[in-house]
Amino acid sequence: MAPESMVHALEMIYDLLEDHGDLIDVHPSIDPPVINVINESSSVFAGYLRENDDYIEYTQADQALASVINSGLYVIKKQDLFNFSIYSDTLDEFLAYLAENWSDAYLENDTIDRIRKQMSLAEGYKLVSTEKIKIARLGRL
Amino acid sequence: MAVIKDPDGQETQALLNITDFIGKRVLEIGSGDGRLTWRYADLAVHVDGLDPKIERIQQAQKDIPVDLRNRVNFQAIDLEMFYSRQSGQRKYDLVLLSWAL
Repeated sequence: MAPESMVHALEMIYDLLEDHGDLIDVHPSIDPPVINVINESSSVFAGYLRENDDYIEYTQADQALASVINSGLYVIKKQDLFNFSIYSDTLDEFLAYLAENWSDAYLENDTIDRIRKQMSLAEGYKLVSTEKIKIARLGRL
Repeated sequence: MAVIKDPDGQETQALLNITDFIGKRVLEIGSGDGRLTWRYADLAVHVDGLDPKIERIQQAQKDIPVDLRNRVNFQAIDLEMFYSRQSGQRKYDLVLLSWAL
């Protein structure tokens, strides 16, 4: 979504809210998701999930929210960060998931090699992608 | 197992920590297949979920639990079109922008 479209969306939401209403925004931070290979007793860092340009959109989302706060439409009432994890039994399943749901994201070859090496050591390893997500409650002014 | 999202429920916990859904009229923008909707819908009095992707909305409609059918509604529509049809309609206590900005 273009930055001006994000601001426009937040303005439409303002009109859709009751006077006492709140907007809850959930969107990823710009930090790349961390890829770990885990089992019951260990967690091994394998690299990062890279994105072509999603981090630009996340920055624009932050800027759009700041814009409507500065223009007096909303006030931040509460905000937080949480970890959002995606678990896969195999690398192939994870790559298929990315292809279907997140075509902008990819794993670098070094990361793929580290995942394959670690997962080949024993049964029971899982691949985990963990992303930092921003959540905020904004009150309508 | 295939692929499992948020098995430890951190997203649900963050959502329930940041607001109270009890008795609220909620508009969820970017509801997709309802993955997030099911985490709070039983607390709300009414939920409208919007997403322009028709396949995801069809999945969400298929998955509506029987006990939520009279208070959860999904529409394959974008925000702009939904907004243009809302003139004079009842407003919402909460709007949830679900990974949609």
